[in-house]
Amino acid sequence: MRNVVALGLLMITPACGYESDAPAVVKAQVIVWDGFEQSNETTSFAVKEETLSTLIDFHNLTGPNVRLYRGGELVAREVAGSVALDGRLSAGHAPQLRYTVRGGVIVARDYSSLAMLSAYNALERSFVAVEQVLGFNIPDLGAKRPIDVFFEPRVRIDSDVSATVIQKFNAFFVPRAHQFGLARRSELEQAPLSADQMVLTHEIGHLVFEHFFNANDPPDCIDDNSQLPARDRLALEYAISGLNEGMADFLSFAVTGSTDVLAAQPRVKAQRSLIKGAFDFAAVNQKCENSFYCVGTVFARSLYQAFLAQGGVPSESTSRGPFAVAVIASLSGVLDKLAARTDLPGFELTESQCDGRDELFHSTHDAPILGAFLDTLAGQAPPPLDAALCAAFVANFGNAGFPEQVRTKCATAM
Amino acid sequence: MRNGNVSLASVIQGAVVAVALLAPAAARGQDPLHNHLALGAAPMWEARNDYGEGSRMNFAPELLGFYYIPTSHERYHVRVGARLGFSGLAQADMPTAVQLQERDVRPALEIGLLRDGPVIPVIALGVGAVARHVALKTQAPVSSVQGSQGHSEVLPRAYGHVALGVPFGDGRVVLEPFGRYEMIVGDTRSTWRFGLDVSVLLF
Repeated sequence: MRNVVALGLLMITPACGYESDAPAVVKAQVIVWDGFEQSNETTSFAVKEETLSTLIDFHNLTGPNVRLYRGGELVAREVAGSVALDGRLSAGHAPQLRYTVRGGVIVARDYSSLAMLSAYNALERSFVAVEQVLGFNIPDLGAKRPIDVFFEPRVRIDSDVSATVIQKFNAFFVPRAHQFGLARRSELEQAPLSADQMVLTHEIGHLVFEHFFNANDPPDCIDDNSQLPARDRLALEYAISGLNEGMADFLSFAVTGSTDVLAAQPRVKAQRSLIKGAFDFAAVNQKCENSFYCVGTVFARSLYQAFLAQGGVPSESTSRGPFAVAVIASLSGVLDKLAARTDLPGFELTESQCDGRDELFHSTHDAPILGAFLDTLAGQAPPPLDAALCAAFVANFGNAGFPEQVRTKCATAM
Repeated sequence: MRNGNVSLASVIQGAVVAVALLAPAAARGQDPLHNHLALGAAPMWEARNDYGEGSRMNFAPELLGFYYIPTSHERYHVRVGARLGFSGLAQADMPTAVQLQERDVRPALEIGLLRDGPVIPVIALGVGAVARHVALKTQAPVSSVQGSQGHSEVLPRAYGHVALGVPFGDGRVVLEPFGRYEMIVGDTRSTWRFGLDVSVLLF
């Protein structure tokens, strides 16, 4: 390993020109997420000298799980929250790190280099943590490793009527290509999202959801939405996008112990805490401002409450992990069962392709879909988890989001 | 009607004054046998790739001094210039809790050739340095810093510079829009710069 790193460094030395020689074992000053305090939902970061022990290719910031590109472009027809519903990232460049070496430690000479070194380190740590807590590595999730991660790419929404370059302020996941994007930084960020393991683990949560819910077969965008297969059109539903976000928040909790994935971002007005604040599904439109993310929060809170009801200990990863794995395993096959139902509302055409979402929340449209999802998920969970999930879903979604007429498992399991 | 005539006369008078002021005097070559010195300043912007994809316009103003030396050809002058630039007045977007703030002082010497006339084309080459201080700034929720809190570095630089001066006030003031291609050793984030040299003749 050391030889590989040394060889990589030898190869980059002529290209760096002015740069000092990098040491054989790469130790770098990076921004590191330093943990989450559950008692008051606060988090901290540190700037530390870390050994990048997994690094294989310094020049390309490549390790066993992650390869980092600078820039590039995402061309997509639709982006829902932190998931690009189609498209792919491409045209990324080598990181072009600017650094100096002081006392054997790589010190970034500009913020982009500091952020890329920090993002690489945080992503590798996050994938290792996911494997330790949940037991999934990247191949287990149906993706090739290393995963391609694009640092501050351009994001272009290319719809039928126009192409628009937009500025995103978060990290995001591209399901079809199994890629991640770290959107361009902004002063909305307090701590850097690209080094925030709570956020990065949330994005990995989308990879997990993609594997277990969509079976790594994300929906296609086609010209005529009415021709979408039932499976695809359900996967594009607004409500499902919310559940995807909620599952990602809960997986972030399972891996990191954080009950607020955006605890480090007070400037982002989001209500993502699994503990603070209180709104159930009926109050989503009145008390929460983050559209389908709010449904996700109600879902994640439900899972958290079921976890506590099962005797889970929030501070222990050995308690969080098995519970989360049981919930994730229950996701398999849910989409096919939903697609086979004939009692769900039909697809509503919206303005753009690849967008099955409606405004939040159309009770006659979203609620039956949500309810069918919740009931099917609980129905696939082993006892006594099924009853705990049903109780939490009914308590948080109520009849407004989990109509009695779509409850089958949860009509009897409680 | 009378008022109209007065108004027309005023306009004509004003135009004559304006033309006189803006008249392309032989700029700073009115006295081709003597050297001249001018001082001034230049707002300047550089397109700097501070992000993964895309750049921003970084404001980097300069103070400048020009010394004009006559040549054997009446209209041509050699111009020796000195510049002192500053960068870092505005930083790239960064998260508030952790920033690497860069501040530069950029001295340079240049030598150029100009042709005096109604407009003054200038071509110049320059060398200099970037004296940069990079400071790590943190605040909550970043709770601690291990290692470097920042560093300083000196980077050599060289540039080619083209400009087109327009003299005003009998050549005492020259406005000179310019473009510059610059290479900083060890920092390839920006190469093109654009600005406006404003210089005032001292003697």
